[in-house]
Amino acid sequence: MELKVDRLTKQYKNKIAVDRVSMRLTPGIYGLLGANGAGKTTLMRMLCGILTPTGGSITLNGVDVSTEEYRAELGYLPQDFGYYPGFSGWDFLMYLAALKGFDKKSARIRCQELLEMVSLTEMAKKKIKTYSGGMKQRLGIAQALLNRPKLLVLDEPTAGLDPKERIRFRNLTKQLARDSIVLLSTHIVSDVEQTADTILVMKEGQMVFQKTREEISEALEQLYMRVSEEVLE
Amino acid sequence: MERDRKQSIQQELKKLYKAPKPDGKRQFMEQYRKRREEQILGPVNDGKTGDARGRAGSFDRKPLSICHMMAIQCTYLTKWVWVVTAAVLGISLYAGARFQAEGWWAACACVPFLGMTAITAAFRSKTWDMAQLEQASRFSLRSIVAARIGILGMGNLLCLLVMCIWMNTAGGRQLLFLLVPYLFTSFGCLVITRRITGREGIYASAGVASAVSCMEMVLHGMFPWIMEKEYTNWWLAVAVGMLVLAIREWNRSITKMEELSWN
Amino acid sequence: MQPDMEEQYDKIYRYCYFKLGNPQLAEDITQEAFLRSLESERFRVGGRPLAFLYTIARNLCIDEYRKRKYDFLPEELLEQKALESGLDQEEELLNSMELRRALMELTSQERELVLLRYVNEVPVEELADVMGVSRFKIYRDTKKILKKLERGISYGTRPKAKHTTGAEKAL
Repeated sequence: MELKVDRLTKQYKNKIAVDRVSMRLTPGIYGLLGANGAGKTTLMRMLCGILTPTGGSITLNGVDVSTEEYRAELGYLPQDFGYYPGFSGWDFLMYLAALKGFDKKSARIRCQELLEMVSLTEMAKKKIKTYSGGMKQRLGIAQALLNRPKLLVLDEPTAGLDPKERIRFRNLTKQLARDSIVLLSTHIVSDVEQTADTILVMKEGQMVFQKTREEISEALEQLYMRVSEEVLE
Repeated sequence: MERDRKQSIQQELKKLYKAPKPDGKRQFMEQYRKRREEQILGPVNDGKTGDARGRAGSFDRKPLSICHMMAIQCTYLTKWVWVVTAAVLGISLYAGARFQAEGWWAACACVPFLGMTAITAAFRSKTWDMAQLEQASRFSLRSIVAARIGILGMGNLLCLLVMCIWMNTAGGRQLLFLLVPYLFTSFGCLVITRRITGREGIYASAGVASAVSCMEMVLHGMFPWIMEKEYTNWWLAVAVGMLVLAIREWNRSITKMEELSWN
Repeated sequence: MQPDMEEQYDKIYRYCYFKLGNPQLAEDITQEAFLRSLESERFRVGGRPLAFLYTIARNLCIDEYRKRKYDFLPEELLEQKALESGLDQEEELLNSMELRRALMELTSQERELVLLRYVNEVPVEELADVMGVSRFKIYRDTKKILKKLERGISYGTRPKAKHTTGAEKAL
């Protein structure tokens, strides 16, 4: 299980959002840090096949990002997402399950299981507009897990979660990271401090830092600041 | 009375049937939850026939057909689409039957709403910010929207044809009178849905449809000569022009929905 | 929907305890039922998860009872013992004593139904599945049992007279 990203670039008319990023990811947790505008979301969107790169390639076990095969192994949680009006949590999950190729029966079982995982069983039949921020986020996490993805891309997944939910989420990702590649981006260093096996730092479109936990000796917070400063010079 | 009695008996029974606390619960439930987690989150052991995880709750990894997708989107079309379509058809057919040629204008006035529902329904993903999630599913967003507009387009076309047949129209002229407002509205709604999201987008689209509808009635009321045979070519030109514009807007909308701009 | 497994643990345990009188065994069987539910496709896919759990628990209890036939007291005494030890002195009201007595006058199948339907509140469809009878029969039987209990209680306070209507006794 390997995600190979080779000199990935996204260039707009007057800005390079992602600049020749290369990396090889294997099952584990990858913490992607970077300021707003550093290119994290753009990178993630390309990894999900949502944005077309202007250069470079992305393959998962040799399968290119633009194929349906790739997307079958993908789970994505965007930074923001909406929902069709009148949808309950259950409707939402069932709809996305249908889009992911589940038949009705399998979809029902899978949705039940995932709602159990994120502790939303009681709220499932209620409309999403009655959900709190944390609940909606948990629903988003659930939909990302529908197809047991080998590649899980989570954009600011802990935003809106209370401390208890955060801990639950951390345990969830630890379990997932056994067999899947979990890439999560965040502002909050403490989110990845304890769980990430590898830290990736982006600055102005470039991957300026990529080291595993063993290779890092100092505290993440300091590291992050140091790296950001270094690149500035 | 009886229910109270039953309830109080039930309460007493519950008190009687009190078991000593189970000692091993916490430890066991931790283990249980862990295994459940593994089951739900972990990979499926393919090729293992006795594996409960594998059989139920799995899904096809073969490529999915566009027909399958159309079927899904069909079931998820909002009820408004059906309501409006039925209303438009109903009003037009009734007016045609009652007022004959004059009733034709009722049809023309209704048709914009048909266009509105088609566009707003097709671009729901953008309006309600579901585009990213849908894009990351097995189907490309393009094909999802295409499937929707395919269904809706066919439906609308059918409506228009039915209306024409109902009116016993000889030439395609009458069809033009239907097509122009339809395309006009579609064009307007495409522009709107690209710029305004959420409920406001829907209201704005409805506004466009109403505006076109009113414009038509004004035209009919004040300039009825515009429907004469001499002006058919004008109508044709406008229709073609609107079609071109609509297609261009369509492409723009699709592209914008896919390539979400960074901020 | 999946049942709340935390809640069901207590309930299944309670059921087993009042069948066997042994807390350790009751827990073992509860845990075994849970473990089997993890492996079972029927549990995940089928519409009756509770019926599954109770059926497993019930069968395991029966097996256990048969195995150790001579170590155990006859079922009824077993239940009585379990019921008695459940009450502490303060709660020992007259009413409870009579209710207990009324309970002991039921058959053991009827008591099982009481435990499942009224104490554990198992939904009727699932209960029917476990017992292997129709829903209708469950409704009928529980109604009958309730009447018996009511009679037993009111009969207890006025041993001389026999009442056809329920006594207005606050329980």
